Amino acid sequence: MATTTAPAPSELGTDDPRNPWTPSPAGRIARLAVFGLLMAAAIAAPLIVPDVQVNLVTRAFVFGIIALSMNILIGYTGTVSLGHQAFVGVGAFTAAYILTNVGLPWLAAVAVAMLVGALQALLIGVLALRVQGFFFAIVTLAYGLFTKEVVFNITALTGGGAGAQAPRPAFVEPAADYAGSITGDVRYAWLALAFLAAIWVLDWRFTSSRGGRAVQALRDDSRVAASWGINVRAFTLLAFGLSGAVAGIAGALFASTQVFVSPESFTLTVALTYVLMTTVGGVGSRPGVVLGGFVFAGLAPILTALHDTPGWGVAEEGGEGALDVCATAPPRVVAGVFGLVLLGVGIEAVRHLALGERRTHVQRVLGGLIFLGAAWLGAVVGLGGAFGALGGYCIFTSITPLIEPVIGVVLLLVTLIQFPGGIAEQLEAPLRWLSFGKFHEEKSTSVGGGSAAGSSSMRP
Amino acid sequence: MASLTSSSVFDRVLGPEEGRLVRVGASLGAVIAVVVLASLLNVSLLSVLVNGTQTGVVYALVALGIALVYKSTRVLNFAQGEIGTVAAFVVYLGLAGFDKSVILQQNEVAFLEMVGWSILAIMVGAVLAVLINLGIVQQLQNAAPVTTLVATIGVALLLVGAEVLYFEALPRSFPQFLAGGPSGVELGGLCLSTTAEGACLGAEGTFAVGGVNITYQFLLTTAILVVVAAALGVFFRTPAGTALLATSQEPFAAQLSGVSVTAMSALAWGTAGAFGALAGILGGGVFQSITPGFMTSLFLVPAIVAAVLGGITSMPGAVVGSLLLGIVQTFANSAVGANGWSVPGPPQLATFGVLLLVLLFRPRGLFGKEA
Amino acid sequence: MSTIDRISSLAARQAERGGATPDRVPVLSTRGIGIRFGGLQALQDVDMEVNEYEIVGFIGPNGAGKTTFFNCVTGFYKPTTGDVFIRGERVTDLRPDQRANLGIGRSFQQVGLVRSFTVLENLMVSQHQHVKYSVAAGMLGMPWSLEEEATMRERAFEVLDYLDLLHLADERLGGLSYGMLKQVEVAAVLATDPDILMLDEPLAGLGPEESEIFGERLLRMRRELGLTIVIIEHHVPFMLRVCDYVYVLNFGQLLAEGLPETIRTNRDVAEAYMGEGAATLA
Repeated sequence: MATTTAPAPSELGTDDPRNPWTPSPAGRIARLAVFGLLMAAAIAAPLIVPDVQVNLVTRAFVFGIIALSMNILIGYTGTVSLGHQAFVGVGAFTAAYILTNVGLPWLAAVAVAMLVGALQALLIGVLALRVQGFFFAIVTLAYGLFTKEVVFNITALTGGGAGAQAPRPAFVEPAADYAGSITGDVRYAWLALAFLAAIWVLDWRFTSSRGGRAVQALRDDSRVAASWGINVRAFTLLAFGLSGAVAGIAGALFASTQVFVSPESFTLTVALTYVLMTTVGGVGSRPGVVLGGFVFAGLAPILTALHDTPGWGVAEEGGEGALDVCATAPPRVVAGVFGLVLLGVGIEAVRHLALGERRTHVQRVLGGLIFLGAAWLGAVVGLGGAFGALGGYCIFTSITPLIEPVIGVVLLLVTLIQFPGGIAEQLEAPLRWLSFGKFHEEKSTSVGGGSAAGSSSMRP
Repeated sequence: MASLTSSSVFDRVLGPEEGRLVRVGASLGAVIAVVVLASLLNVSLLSVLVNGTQTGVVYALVALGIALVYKSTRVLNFAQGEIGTVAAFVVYLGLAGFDKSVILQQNEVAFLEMVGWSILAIMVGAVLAVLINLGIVQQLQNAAPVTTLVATIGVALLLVGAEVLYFEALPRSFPQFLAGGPSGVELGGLCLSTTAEGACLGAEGTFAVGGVNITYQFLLTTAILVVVAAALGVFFRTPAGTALLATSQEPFAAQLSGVSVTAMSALAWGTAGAFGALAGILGGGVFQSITPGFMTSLFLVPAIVAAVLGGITSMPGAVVGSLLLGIVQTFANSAVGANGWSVPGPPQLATFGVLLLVLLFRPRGLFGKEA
Repeated sequence: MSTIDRISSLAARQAERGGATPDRVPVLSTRGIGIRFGGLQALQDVDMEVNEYEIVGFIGPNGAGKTTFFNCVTGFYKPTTGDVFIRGERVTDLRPDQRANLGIGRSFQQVGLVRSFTVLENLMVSQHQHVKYSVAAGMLGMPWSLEEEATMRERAFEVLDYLDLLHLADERLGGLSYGMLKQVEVAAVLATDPDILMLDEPLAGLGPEESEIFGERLLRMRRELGLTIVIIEHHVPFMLRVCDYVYVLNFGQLLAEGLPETIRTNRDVAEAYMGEGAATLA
């Protein structure tokens, strides 16, 4: 590819930066194998889980896409969006409207949702040119509430409180005489996964080409970027447009997951969940935020299943019925989960005390993984409980699960203080290895681990 | 992401002096427009003003805490509302004799007893805020701002969880400071609406001004707000207050001159926590009932928006923004109600509208310093 | 013509310059620049002319308005009065990025780099205005975009090599000293391929010897890369040695201008700098 007459890599010394480190053939195979296994796991996930949970997997994939959309704003432009549920909701209602009222094919509906999503994000982006930082975050907060309460309740467009139908594409439904085990739900999950993969690749290319680099330069210092010839307005708007487009796609996929969309799916709680999952995943890190999305996608449904309470959307204005269900079935599963959490934290604590700095990298990663799994599972379950309470739903009446919200959030806070870079920071070494880098970076010049944590701590 | 021009439109088009004139003119014009609009839309302006102020005052107490914390530590404290809920529950527990099965009756609550428990609750709120500051916010000093934001969201959820844990997600009756008092007092002479007996409209514990009911609790809340705001103004002139201001503007320089940044940060949070607690106790009185998370779900977001309207680092701005927001929301509700329009979510519409309008003309809020 | 082309076709460029007389139109000039912040008149009536291949210096006490003047020239401030010209063309209404496209490259008093990037990445972004592939092509990973990326990498390495900074390529900025950061910043600006290089206190954080080396390097860059250079610097002896022409700002106004020798012996300048009664500078 090189067009100039640079010296061939072999002529350069091994420590010459022009000659970057690459893994050995064996290392390359090992990386590809692990990568393949992860891909296979993602593809197999909808097949493995029980039929009733397939949509939960789809939801995880969609949340992954939403997290990528959030990441463009929070990670690349440094703009905190507290109203991202509106971005997603606009996509969802647009798709539903096109599908039921206009009758275009599904993919066309997704395309329109993408365009409308991008357009509304651009309008908000225009504001970001004038209103900045904290002020802008609050504008998005008000925009989210405004969209949910006003726009999504315009009956002619969205069906109002009754919601709107969003059928799935015909091509994921198995033929009538089909008797195999691959259901329409599974096919739809794969469709969502395909979108996630495609957007992931586009996002990756974006950050490693001129567009993404320009946007990130703006985040750090718009004056410097301008002095290098980067058009501040154009690239700010580009980032907003992209984020909105991705959110629009996610919204369309979200709508068709349940085949139905209602304004209640886009409350402030949802917006905060998006912020949480992006931060917990690790702002600025693609694998991090997508993992965060996966983890938080399971939040409400898993809780609902564990507690055997009616679904959140349904239990709204719960009344007597919800209370009754609440009072029944002490969820032993939750007690078990918390046992595991405490065990995990205990192991990690012992490991830390016993091995300390002498831990090998493998031990450190293993410890990190245990801590990660235990702490985040606890945090998620706990957060779910607290969110439920904030929504006014009765979830806890028996003794055991009462501890959830408290322990869960304590774990979230402890982990955030330990790893401000979130999951991405915890998994830094394996992620670097997987992206064909060294497992252990000798020159630890990066500050604070996660790329975002590093960047922000250096910001004045 | 700084846009290259962020001065006011007026300042750019005209000089600063002319800009000021235009601004005064614009404010006058806005007032006239509102009066005209009110008469066109059949909205009772007086009632909107009174009811709007009633909500705005509680917003203001929350907003003051948010602005103070943001000014001194650059953190948006999502737990500000929940500190208030905790304080309200402390008062509730105290009045109920630590028996959570007791249903509080307004007329059984002694004024002084309530004041006593409130003082304790305010101290609890302050301590709680200091703990959050020391335990979490200061630990995350070097993390991205959004991480700190998420941590405070976590704290809010933790507090909600803890409240649910002990009190369950049930509404509980909560007293006002002043619910009694002579009824039917008429002030202002202009009695637009009278009862069947010919008395001016005024239920028990309220008096009427020009036909609008005003509760004594409202008067007390307003008085408290005025006292708090004045105390804050005085505080910023004391050595401690000056040190706080200095730390917020030049932390490094302040440290060099012997001011402890840690202590200042904790001081700001503690003060804000006390405001939050006060807001919770008065906010509980608005609906005379409290549930876990009520301050967060009812007052937090409007207070944040109000603080931003005022310029986020300005204390008078937070108060003005809160009153403005309360009045605008009430206006929107009345306009929709009076005309039977089917506009969904008038308060949210009004909130977004007023925020856009203010920030487009003043990108750093009404009282914010232009960058 | 890119910086690298210049470096590699040094002989060609020197041949081109031999005998050719510099442009008659100054490459960079201002007329009557004035700017007011509220009640403060930060600059008043500043005229400047910079001819091609000149090294022009701005000196003056702190707060004299040097950086403010730079900001007016590069488009970060809009002057209240007066105009800025690049090659005789009025650019007063252009944005900073548009002026960068016309060949102005500048450094900042506080280091102007993207803090979260590595040194190499910084030099990749700073080539932004010369990238030919579209944003969409980059996102889709089109072959020509990948090819151009590779070329950009080569260029970045060559610029680093030229400034003896190659060993820093993969460093994150957090680990670098202030003086090094200032040098990396110069590299990044050079990678934007400017015709006019405007440096705001490039010696900050450098020791005397390093300053010496930097001075030599500036002269070499002007000679080899055909740059026109404008510098702000406090280090007066350095400026009088390196610059072809010097402007002295004081309280937002031009106190003096002239060849280094005239400035050295200018009594007003000496008084402004050294206090009452001083007769010569340095």
